[in-house]
Amino acid sequence: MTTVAIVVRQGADEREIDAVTGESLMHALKGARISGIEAVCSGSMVCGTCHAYVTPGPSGELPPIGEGEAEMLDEAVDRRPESRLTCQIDVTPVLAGIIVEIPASQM
Amino acid sequence: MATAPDMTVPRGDHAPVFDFDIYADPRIGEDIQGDYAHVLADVPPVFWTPANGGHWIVTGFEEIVEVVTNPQDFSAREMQIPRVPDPPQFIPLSLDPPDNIPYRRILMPMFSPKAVRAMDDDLRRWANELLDEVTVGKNQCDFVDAVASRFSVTIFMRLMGMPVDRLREFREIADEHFNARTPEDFGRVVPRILGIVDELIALRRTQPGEDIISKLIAADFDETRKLTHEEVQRICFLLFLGGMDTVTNVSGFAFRNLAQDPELQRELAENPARIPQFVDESLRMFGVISTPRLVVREAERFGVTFRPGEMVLCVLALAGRDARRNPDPARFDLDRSDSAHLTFSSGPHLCLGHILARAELRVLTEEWLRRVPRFEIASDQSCRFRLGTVNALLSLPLIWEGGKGA
Repeated sequence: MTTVAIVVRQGADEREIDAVTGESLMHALKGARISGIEAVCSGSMVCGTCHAYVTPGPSGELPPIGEGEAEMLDEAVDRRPESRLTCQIDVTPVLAGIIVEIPASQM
Repeated sequence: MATAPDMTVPRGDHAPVFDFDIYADPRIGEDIQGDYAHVLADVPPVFWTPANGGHWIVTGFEEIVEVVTNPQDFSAREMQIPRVPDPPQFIPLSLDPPDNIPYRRILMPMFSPKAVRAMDDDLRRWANELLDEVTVGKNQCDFVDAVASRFSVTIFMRLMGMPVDRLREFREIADEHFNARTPEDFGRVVPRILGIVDELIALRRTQPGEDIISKLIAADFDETRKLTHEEVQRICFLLFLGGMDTVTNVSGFAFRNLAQDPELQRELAENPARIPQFVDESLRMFGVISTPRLVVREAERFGVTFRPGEMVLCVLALAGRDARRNPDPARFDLDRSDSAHLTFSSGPHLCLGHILARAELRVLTEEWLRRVPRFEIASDQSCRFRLGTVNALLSLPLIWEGGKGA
């Protein structure tokens, strides 16, 4: 089990949290009690409440957006090009240094 | 085919047993969620009740999450306690993943954050129309009959393209469904609901509109085909039951609590910006659904053995009152941070209307308190209620000052 450091931005606040490889980014955010990530469906990709803006870290990589995720994101409020469902991103070493911004509409 | 649960197996092994009748337990009164919490306070979060043919009851937050996110062991394909032959089938609720997913993809844009945001002005206009009628020059009403049911059910009926003048008739049929226990009961009520649904589908096939039924008829399933009549029918069956009785019930309990708390009324009337917290806290404390699952594979969990054919009932209202998740859970606290509930369930069958429900509760509370900042329960009357897998407050007589009398 290894951890990778990720940056979380909520409005003007910025903090760093450790995410454990193998869990989902959503679980890491929930585990760190980040408000605005409700994830009311517990990662079943049916609610869209774990939406966040995710910018790659130094690796420049993020897992690709799947078809179901893209459909859910079409229905998100304030969608941006960096929009992701954090339940669909598994934590791996390539995520080190990513920036996760919580949408204002979810805070 | 469904197999009957094997009641010759002694329950037990290590299962805690507690006799609890979800339909008529005499210890449960109109404060349904509070009474549930009180009666089950010393009972483990997973136990077996011999009542209603015998079934499991799950009340803990984490335990419920595990059940509703584990369709391999706990299937949604049957929802009746006790089990009945040929149980009613709902789409997508009765389908385990991945079969439910294409249907949710069709329905999701109609209930998404974006869709609900677009309804905001309509919700407020409808709330204003209704509340003017109920409150101007008046000083009392039955909140469930005059406000909660009419507001949320007419919103639903408008979305569905249903004739709003049949509201009471439709509500009564939904109530009959939630009171059904036996195959004979279901045999009477299900065809009536499907008949109404068929009528509406037939209408929209010839006169399409902007309503949900028209959208279902036009929808592409997995981009390969249209939905069959039966699929549209089974989706509308579920929406009918969901739309007739759920937000109504939560609003009833939320306002029953608000009516008994003058301090909370003052706080919200002075600071309407806190109403979203009131909605969240009300949802945490006043869930109304207990969601059943059928054990389809032997599973060792929580120190007990679930056997195929047994029913498991997750009491969603108690998840928000789990002290392991929400400290001091019986206290209504607007300042609660990091609170959690499962009032909309979780997992692949998370309530499709969860965003709409929150918006309805928020708008209704805002508009009500603008007109009636101070109110109470009429002391000479008690509230009627219904117990089961969908708990309901059937009446809530409210009185207030400032009107000219009814």
